[in-house]
Amino acid sequence: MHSENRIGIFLCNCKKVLSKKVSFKELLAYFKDYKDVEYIEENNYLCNMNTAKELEKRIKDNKLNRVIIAACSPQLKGTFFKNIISESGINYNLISFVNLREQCAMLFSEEGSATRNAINLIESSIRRTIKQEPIKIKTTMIRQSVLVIGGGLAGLQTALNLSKLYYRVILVERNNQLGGYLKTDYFFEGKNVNYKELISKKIEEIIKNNRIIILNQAELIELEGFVGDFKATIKVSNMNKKNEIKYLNIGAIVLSTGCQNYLPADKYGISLSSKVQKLSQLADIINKKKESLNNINSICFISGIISDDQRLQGETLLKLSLKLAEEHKIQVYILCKNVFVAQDGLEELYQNARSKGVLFLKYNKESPRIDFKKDINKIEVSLYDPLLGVDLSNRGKKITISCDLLALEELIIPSTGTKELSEILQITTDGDGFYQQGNISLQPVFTNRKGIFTVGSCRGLKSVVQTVDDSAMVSLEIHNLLKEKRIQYKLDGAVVDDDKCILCLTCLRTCPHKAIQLVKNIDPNQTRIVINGLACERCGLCVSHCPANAIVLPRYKNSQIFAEII
Amino acid sequence: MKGNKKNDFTPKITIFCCENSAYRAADMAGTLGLIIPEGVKIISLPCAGRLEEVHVLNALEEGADGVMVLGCLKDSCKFLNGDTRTKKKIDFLKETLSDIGIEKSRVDFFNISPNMGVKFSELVVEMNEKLIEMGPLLARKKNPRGRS
Repeated sequence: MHSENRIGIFLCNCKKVLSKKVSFKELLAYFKDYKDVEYIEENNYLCNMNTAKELEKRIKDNKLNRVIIAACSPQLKGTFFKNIISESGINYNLISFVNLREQCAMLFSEEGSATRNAINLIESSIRRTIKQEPIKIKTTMIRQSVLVIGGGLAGLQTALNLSKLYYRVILVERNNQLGGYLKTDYFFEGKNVNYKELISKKIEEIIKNNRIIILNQAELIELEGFVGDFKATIKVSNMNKKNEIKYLNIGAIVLSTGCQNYLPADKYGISLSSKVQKLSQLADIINKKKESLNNINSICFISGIISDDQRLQGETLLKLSLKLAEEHKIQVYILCKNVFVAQDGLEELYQNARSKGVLFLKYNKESPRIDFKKDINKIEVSLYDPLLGVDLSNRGKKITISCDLLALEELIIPSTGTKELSEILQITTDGDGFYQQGNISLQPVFTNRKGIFTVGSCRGLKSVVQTVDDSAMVSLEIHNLLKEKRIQYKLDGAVVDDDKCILCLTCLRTCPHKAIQLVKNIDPNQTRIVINGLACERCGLCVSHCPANAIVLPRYKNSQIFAEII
Repeated sequence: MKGNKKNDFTPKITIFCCENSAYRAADMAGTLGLIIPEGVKIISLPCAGRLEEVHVLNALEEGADGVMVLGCLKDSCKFLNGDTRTKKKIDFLKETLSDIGIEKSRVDFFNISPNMGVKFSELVVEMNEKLIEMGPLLARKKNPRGRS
């Protein structure tokens, strides 16, 4: 079966730069009569398009079946060479690279040492390339529909974007109405936009759209399958309390479950009353029961005790205080550690608030002391401001404020059910319970499972603008994944050898991407482990952890690594 | 450098590099013109997590005096926990090696990110000095097929 190995080596001296360190004459002489090497040549400038085209001719003339490119780092030009050489009929896995520039010529000092290393590297590459086998390409169908979980702004916007890209969208919402967090009175008008109008426009648009199916009062209860072919089970509860179970086949999933407010009252050391209110409660009062603000002269906001970075809470706080100062002529004090204005429009809002008479007071480590003065029906708050001067104990100047109402900043936590959903979907969450994002700058909307994306505040609080941007990004990523009905992928993912597998399920536990599945059968001998080629990210963790050595990663087999080690 | 007996020995170091971080760091070290000692061999892996204990042992058996495994920085592995899993493996391996009388510090795991070219060369030079002090590894095959 094994035909003769005919290896071609193409050296590149990178416009004679490498010739200073590596003696190419020596290399040519050494490998001329080397076993299995059919052809070797030195090039001046291999990545030039014309030279690269000539490679094809050389390969055909010499009937080469394996190629080694000894040039710059494969990280730079690897795909370029692979694409060009694959056209001449050589499987991409039979093309090997030797990092002659970065990791040989430039990394070793003397001329002799670089040449010796080059010989060593090419030798091991020859040994390795003989062990490599061609890798086939497989085609599978991808389902052209998307499941969006959560009907807040993020979910609605993503569903609209996707429907414009001609995908069928199923929107699942737990409550009986769409709109989510933005429908509550907590949000105030933006600079030029009224958020409530914005959301009701979107809802109207969604209901009219016939590519979007809305399932109210529905929840995902089970998920099977992998990217491109998820099988989701959805429970829909009706008005007459009859639960309906729906089975859907979908290509990708978007999570837009959002976040919620939570007040850890124990951290403040006081309990809520008519005089002490949450920020969101106060917002409710301003929007609905304006008359109750009539006999209030001063309000004190406390921020920064529960969390240091509450940028977006800061936005609400500034807007709220501005509204109180402008419309109701109430004296507002804001006690904070730092004012966060690192966002579009916040600096202006801060300046505006100051000019309208809102007072900002800074405290350091020591939290403000709160006293209830029952005789005068007021609350006294005292703090040490380090900016206004320093007293003997070096704590800052002591300031006491008496106010009628106290408003406390809340913590943002993931919405209820996030944990349960993450268990159903088998995706990881971070320390605060939000969904874990991928690489923070390269793959922010990805989760650890391929085909499942997150959008909006379910990965930490996002502003309206950020959420809309985020949903555009998710839509593009999904379009990238689903744009072709038939997707081609290389069969170089991990493969299980059923004869060796002892069903210990170690790989099932190890796989960070949950690409491994236990396929059960009534006959226990037929039960086996299957790795999904599309969901597998080719990291090789399962391979190294398999106690029975039953899993193989075709591009990094043990035999190949051993051949390179020597 | 001739004449001094200690300096006649050039240690052979095998470095297993994660393709996503350490391999790029090595590329960067080259681009920056940093110089590393001669007997270094870099082998790339898709993730440090692909490494098995047997690869390290094989490298030692076939001629390497020291083995370095370089993975991503903590919590920034593309595959979530490849680096921590490998660190555990290497820690275990070190104990096993010391049980059979081989110095622990011949094998080590380091975290590195793709832009740490300088750190890469520093680590290699440090390892080289350590190995020169320790001398060649004597416990190995009679006729290693390894590098001459």
